Amino acid sequence: MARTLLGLAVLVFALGALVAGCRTSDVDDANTESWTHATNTMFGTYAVQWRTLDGAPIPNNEPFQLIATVQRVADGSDVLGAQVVFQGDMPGHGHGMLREPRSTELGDGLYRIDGVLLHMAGRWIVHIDVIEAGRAERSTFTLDVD
Amino acid sequence: MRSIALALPVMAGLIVACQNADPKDPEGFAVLPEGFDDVEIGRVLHLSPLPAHATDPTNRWSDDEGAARFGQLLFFDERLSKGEQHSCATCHLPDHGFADAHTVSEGVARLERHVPTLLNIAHHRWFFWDGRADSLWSQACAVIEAPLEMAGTRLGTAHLIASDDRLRERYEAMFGPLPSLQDTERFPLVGRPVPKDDPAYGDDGSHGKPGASGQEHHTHAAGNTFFHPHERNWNAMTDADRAAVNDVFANVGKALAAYQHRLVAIDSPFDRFVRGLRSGDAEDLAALSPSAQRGLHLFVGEANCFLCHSGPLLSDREFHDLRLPPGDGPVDDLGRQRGLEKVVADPFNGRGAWSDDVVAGSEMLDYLPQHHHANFEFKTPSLRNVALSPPYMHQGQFATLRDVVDFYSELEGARTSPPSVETVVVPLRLDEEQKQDLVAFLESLTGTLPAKTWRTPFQAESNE
Ligand code: HEC
Ligand code: HEC
Repeated sequence: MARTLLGLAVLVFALGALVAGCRTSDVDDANTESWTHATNTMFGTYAVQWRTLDGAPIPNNEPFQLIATVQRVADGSDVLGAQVVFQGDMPGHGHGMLREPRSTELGDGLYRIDGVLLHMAGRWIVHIDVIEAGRAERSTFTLDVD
Repeated sequence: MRSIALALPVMAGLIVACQNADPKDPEGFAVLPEGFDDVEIGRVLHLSPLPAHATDPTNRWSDDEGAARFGQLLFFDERLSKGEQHSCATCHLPDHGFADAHTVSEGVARLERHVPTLLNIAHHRWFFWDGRADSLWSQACAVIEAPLEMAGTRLGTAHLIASDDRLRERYEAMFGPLPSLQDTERFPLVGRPVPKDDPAYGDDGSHGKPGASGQEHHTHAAGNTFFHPHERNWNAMTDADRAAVNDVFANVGKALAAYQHRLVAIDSPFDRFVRGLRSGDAEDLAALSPSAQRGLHLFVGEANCFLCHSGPLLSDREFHDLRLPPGDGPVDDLGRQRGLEKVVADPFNGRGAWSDDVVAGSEMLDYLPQHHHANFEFKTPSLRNVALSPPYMHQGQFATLRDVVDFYSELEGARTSPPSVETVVVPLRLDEEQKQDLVAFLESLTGTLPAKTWRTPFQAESNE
């Protein structure tokens, strides 16, 4: 019973936040289970999963935030204190992004990335690089923006 | 746990409700015009409607009617310029889509670029062809002081307002009392900062632009630094006095911006057609001729125009390199590369001391790349009302829309070196009918002009 009540309280809070803000900006409001993108980095060291922070589809030519989680593949532990760098290219157009997003570590292996702008419709190849102790390992995702 | 599981769909529903209605929602289509597939229709729906209002959080006056009327007074006031011969409307002619017919414009001196339209301007993200301003109000401040355009100064602007009862009353009613400027030792009649890259900087009218700094007398200060007389006046003031003048100048910019927020021209035949696509109304669907519909099909299809001329402004509001042939301006105009350096350094930018919302103002600036890598990139113009304001491109390279379409078709005269990174710009090899169709579509983008009271100099008696 206590658990149900607690669950309800959390939900009421979460719903309130959603209705009030229509734009969640804090990981507390984020349902961290619903990752829409997941892959391992190229040498298999890290598992990288992410989704847009507000849960909306990736917008065409509007700035958005995303939230990523990084775990060590070997033992499933959260990666703390890494640098996480987001970068995107449009191979079909010969150019990349017009912005340099920045990431903020939120703890528990979570990283928020701000300032992402995919300014054209079409295929984007985006990378999330995980950098630890000067060593970078790249994860790659294919996105279609329309 | 069950209650959470039940509530999740509710939350998801809310998230969906929070987004704007998805224009691609196929509900309500009555008609798929001939030749268009679902994806192309989705692209068409992204292009209309353009909302009448755009807000600028960095300018709390942007929606204010009084500020807009004050801005209108200033827009048509030649006294803002050196020599008192150029108002904004001298180059942004209301009868020419708020642009002008020159290839590159003539101001106090010959300019380097073509005059862009101001219709629907408030929807842009960056201003000037190179995006060196991030708001309409900082743009206005820049142009008043630009030596080749109006060659005015912020001190001169403040004095003008203080000395004209009509301007002064309106100013003070909104922004509060002006600083008392009578003491011209403290507040010289002209003055502004003159940065090193300013065409008036130095005593040689740098870049060989006649009339840029002209006959002004420069002082040779210590070392090899020259001080423009405007800058000497400015530097002699106290910090507090300079800040007071900057306040006035930013307010002037914000009023001019509020005026330009009214320069809306939407509801074109194309918009009626898209409304028809959504409602099935036959009359609306007939707003676009068969030729213009075929042009639209090319636009969102094989001609790839929609990639850059995207969204309801028909501009992605960002920058591209079309490898245009040289026009009447300088061949070494690097475009965005320089604009990027300038916009982050502009004290009147969205994260600066005169911004009304530094958080919103920082959103774009904070993530700009430190080192832009592509040269010759210019802002994608909106294609709304494009038929009203020939010639076209940043140096007015093309006299007609047909010339523009011919260029996209053949890329004749396109720069080959240095190469462009923009690989979508390839010769389209259109046939005669396709070219006519594209032009017909571009001509269908002319909307209803703003009311005459916004297109003519402000007359307190008849306009209010
Ligand atoms: C001497 C002619 C001239 C005058 C006077 C002039 N402009 Fe302009 N305007 C231009 C030119 C040329 C450009 C493009 C310059 C560039 O991109 O470097 C421009 C650009 C602009 C833009 C940016 C448009 C865009 O699409 O980014 C705005 C807004 C604007 N002017 C408003 C004004 C206002 C407000 C005034 C009066 C305070 C004014 N202009 C006075 C010639 C003029
Ligand atoms: C790669 C992006 C891109 C694509 C694709 C593109 N444009 Fe443009 N367009 C631009 C840019 C950027 C400019 C301004 C270039 C300059 O002045 O340097 C422009 C300018 C124009 C102008 C002149 C507008 C004015 O006010 O000066 C017209 C008209 C136009 N484009 C129509 C089209 C059509 C039609 C297509 C498809 C056949 C198309 N564009 C495809 C980016 C693009």
